[in-house]
Amino acid sequence: MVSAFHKIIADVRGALERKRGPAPVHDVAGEAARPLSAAARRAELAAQFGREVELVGGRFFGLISLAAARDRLLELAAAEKSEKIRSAALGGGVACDVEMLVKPLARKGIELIRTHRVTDGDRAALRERIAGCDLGIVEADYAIAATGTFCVIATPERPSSLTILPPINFIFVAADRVRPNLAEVVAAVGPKNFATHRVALITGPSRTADIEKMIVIGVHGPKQLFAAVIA
Amino acid sequence: MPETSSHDFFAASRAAVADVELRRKLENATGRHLQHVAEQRAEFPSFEQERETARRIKEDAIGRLDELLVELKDRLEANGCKVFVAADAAEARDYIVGVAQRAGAKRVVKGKSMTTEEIALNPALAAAGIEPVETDLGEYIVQLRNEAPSHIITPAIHLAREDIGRLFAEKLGIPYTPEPEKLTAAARERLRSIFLSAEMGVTGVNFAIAETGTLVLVENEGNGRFSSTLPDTLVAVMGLEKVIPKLEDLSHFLEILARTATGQKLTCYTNFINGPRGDGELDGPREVHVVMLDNGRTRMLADPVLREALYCLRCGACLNVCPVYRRIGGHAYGVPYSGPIGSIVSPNLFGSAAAHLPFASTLCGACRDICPVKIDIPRILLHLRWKASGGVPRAAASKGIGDVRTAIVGRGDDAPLVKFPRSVRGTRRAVHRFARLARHPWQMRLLTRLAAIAARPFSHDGYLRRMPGAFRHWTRARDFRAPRSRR
Repeated sequence: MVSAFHKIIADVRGALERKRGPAPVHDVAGEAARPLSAAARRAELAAQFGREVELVGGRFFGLISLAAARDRLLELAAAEKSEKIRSAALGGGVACDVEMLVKPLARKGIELIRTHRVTDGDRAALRERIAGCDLGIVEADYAIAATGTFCVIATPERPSSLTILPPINFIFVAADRVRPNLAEVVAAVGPKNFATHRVALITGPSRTADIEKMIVIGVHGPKQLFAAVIA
Repeated sequence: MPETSSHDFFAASRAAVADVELRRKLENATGRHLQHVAEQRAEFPSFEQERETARRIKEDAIGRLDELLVELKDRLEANGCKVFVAADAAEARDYIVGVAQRAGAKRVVKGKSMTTEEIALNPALAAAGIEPVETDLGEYIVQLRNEAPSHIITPAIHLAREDIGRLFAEKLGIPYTPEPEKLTAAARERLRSIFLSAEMGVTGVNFAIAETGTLVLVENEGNGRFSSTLPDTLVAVMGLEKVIPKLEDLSHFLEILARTATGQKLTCYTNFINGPRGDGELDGPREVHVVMLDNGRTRMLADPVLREALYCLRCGACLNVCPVYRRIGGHAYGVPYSGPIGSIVSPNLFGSAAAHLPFASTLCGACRDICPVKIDIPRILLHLRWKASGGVPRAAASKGIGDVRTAIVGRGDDAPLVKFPRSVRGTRRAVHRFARLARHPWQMRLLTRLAAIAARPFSHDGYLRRMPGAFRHWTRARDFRAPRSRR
């Protein structure tokens, strides 16, 4: 197998007729300086992020506290008849105190599943429980304002299942973690995380245009996405 | 390996052109796509700049592919992936079937991947008693119909919602509905349990980052995410050309890919796969196999003109602008990669079965204009036509006369690669004679003068509106300026 690889590399080298040389450097267009206060900049990015999330079919709660976002979510859960939320799965937090969500959800009669490190023995059981619940709640590591995208780095406490299995997702991000564009988020996550963790960029609820190029929301992933930027 | 010939192509394309319903569907879907793309580009001022940067990165990456592949393989292995390098489709198929058998898989869920179409993986899995299940909605639809995808990113572009409604009613036993929402929901429900129980997933790869050993998978539905997250074994199949040097290069590609492919800013999901799941992790496969596929790519690399085709991101936009694709659809091409990009990569990947495809183009250049990495497809098409016709001595080609002439007329009747039907053969002979005449200016002048005299009875106000006999087809749908002898 090794020799097959080396043979192809030799073919590649032969095809290129080249010798080793230094890699060229590509210039990356820099962001123009913005004469804004940090708070104003955060508000601007959050607003832009919200607009973009709504454009891709998500619902944006605004730049609010986690408690306020939680209340909005509970209101919606009570209001919507078709997609009644009876159970929710909650992942570990990043910068916010997710523990404050636990009791209010329980008070509303919503069964709460906490994700955790698993062994081979209990993997199937936890996945089944997440697959069966109505809502996945996750704090994202970063967000991209220009595209309305959440960036979630998977950890044992915050598995990918949370953002793919439940039909409804509530994803939030701390305000200082909203970055203007994709390049900045990729840089913020950094090569080390990309080499050691599964990372997902999530832009709106899952969608397809495979039937006559008409957009349908909710294919394999979540059908509904609620989003908030936490002040 | 798809079996087709130029003769089949002519028959299939004639049938497709006559299928008015198919043309309506194609015009509808491609038109919608182009409108979304135009909107996205207009809203993103840095598009041209990003496109330029992306192209430069690809030039660099393909230019030192040897180094990058070694780096990528090292990094992937350091991340815990098993890397297999397949020289051709058969090696890749055998390896993947072997992995599935060792994993004890009865069912394999597949995220959308054109590379697995290229290697004809599904029949190989089925022959080994393993059921491949396509999970991209479009792929699922065409799989239920026992068809190949007819577009790189919209596999069921040739079907109307009513067709899909009838198909689902028949195959899934649901009540007939033409509503895309209900059809999608039916597929979701059907595939969910399969996702949760499948032992193995197979996906493609959009980008492989050499620096970090990370595979990037871009999609909208969640099929790639499910296939790469839930099953215990994952096989990711990538063409050798998918490698990019650094993490920081990635955003330049992602900024242009979805904008051109689907008219979105970014696709719904961009998945980064680093390797098997870590200790205590719920998700991710226990085993990750990466199949790096050559299958003719080093041959393309060795050809200085064709090398550019390896920059392709498989966005499918060139299909949607192509006047040929828009009239005949993907199936008429007879190979998995259709449209302009298919016409330049297929002859290398599928050999003589696709040797005629470089001729299936009007060379209008719309593909080059829309290509996010500015691949000069018309130039490559001409180059391949020149090669297919046996070529002419390099000296003549470099003077710029030989290649174009041979590309149009071939070497005469002894060029066997493309067998044109009789009606086309007549035209070819005429063009051949014309090319011979046009080589001498005095002949050309004489010809023009004769043509002007011959056309005089048919011209009105300087235009030919209706011509007799064999020429009548030329004026059926358009007027020609009447030939005039030089003053």
